[in-house]
Amino acid sequence: MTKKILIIDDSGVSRRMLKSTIGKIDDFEIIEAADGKAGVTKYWECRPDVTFMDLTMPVMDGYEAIKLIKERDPAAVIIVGTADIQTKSIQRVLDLGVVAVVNKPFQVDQVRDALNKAALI
Amino acid sequence: MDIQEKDQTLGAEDLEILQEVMNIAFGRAAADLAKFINIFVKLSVPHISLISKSEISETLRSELEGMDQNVSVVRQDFWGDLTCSAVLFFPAHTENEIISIMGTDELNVEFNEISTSLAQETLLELGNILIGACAGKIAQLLETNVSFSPPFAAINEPMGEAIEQMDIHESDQILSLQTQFSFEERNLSGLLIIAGQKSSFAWIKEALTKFMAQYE
Amino acid sequence: MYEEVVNFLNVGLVILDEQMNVRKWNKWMERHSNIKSSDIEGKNLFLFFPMLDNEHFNRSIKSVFTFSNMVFYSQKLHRYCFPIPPVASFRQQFEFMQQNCAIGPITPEENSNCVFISIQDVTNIVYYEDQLRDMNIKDALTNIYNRRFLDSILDREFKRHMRYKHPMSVIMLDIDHFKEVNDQYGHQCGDEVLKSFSAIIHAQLRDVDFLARYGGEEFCCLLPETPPESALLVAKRLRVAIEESNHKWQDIELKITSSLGVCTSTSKHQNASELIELADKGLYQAKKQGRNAVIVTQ
Repeated sequence: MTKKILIIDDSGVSRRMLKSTIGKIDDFEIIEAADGKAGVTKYWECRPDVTFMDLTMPVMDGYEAIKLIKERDPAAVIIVGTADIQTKSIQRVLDLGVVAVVNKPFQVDQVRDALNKAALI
Repeated sequence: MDIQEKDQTLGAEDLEILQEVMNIAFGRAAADLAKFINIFVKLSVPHISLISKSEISETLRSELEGMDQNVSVVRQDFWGDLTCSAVLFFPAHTENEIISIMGTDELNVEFNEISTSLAQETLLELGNILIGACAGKIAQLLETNVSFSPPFAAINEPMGEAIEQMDIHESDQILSLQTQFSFEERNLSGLLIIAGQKSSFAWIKEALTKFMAQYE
Repeated sequence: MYEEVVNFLNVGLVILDEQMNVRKWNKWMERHSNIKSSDIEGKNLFLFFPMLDNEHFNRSIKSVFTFSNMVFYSQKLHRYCFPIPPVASFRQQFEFMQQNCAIGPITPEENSNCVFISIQDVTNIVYYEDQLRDMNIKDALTNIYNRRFLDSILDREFKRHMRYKHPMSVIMLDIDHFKEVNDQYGHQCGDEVLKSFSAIIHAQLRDVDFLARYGGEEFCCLLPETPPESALLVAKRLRVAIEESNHKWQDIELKITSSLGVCTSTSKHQNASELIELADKGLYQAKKQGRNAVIVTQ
């Protein structure tokens, strides 16, 4: 069965970039959401195998969304994609239980490694 | 004529891609500023639009409304394939905060009596680094190099004057890139605006296409 | 060819790598720093210029390496970047060469990431600017500050006095019967008297005080952080010094006296002009009372 990946990012361009990068690695069913709140809703709706989360979003940001998802589903597999790779920020999301962090702009190698960590490939 | 005109404007999709490029550039700029220069700044998601100079004035006035009649500014131009004017707006009377951001190992000043030239020098240094970081990262992502002209700083000058001094021709359609920045630990925030000249539009379009090429 | 250009540019050029080692020290730098390129190339910059190992310089270099931006050291704010002597003709006036410098990126070759520093000698420009500024703020005859300069700093000084609540005093003084000196001995003699008069007052004042030529033969002393008792003392000393002095011109020797008005700021004064007006009133009073006197007003 094709694994499901949920992409939560307010930038359509960023979602497009990630979709394309993932597409180069393997076949997945990709679901999208454009803000934290919609993303959380989508999560319960489709129960993805892994979620890619952007951090800075309107309505509800990535940190909030991660907390909400992890609260109800501690086993949720979440990968954060961000351009701001300060150690502080990375530590903060790792503490929230995120499985990996990838840089923007997305690179195939990094995303592949992250998916490996998530035991998806 | 027609083809040329088409090349001269940036479409909605171009602006969307540019916004993501800027978002990434600013994220990297903030990360590098923290890691290498010990400056901790947060740069908000940039707002991008194609507007005229008078519209910029209006936007700035409303964005800077909290800022009182006077502002401190740093202006710097950078040029190359990408030619832009950048302006940083800080609220007036924030010399103390700016100086504390830059550290004080050389400075033994009583914070009450900060000379104008010290405040100006520090503002200039901070502005130069911030604008350089943002512009530098945008250029890097778009695979080009830019050169910088010497920056100019003014402390506590009337907002109207600061806006007037931006190197923009009235009639031009300008690419306006605006970001709020804040130094949370110092309780200081302001606005960065980068105005792109029309002459760069054709190149920008091309560079954005190239950028997205690997994601098609 | 580029090698030649680099060496014959009338600009200093230094190339540094990420470890702050000097990769290139051009002929201009050799000439003006007295450090041979063969001595410094390959070595750490801070071995030769330890004072550059400071936060500002290091941060600037780091910024250029990280962002490929440019950092400017303008003479106006920094005076100079490299502490090297000026050319011989300016060694009297300046300890170090006045410079405009720029630090910028060099597109990396292979593994070497480098930055360049360009150094421009602007000492002569600064010299002429200083001269022009002096001409603007000093009185040509007496070489003390002129009225224009005094007016420009009055507000600033008053504001400072208000902020820190330190008293500020003003002494207005002029030469008694100066018109008669001019009429009797001629204007050239009068000019000499003005010059020596200013010199006498100047000698009695501190570095922080301001002495300005207020009018033809009227002078103003601005004494920051000076309480009324001290101001009165200074005024009295001035009166005596002027009374006791001899003024010579050609074969003429003459003595003069002066009238002085003193006023110190208190909370009831709103601005510096008020102070000057009041001191002026005192001066006028001193004249009415027979001259060669000091009157204090409040």
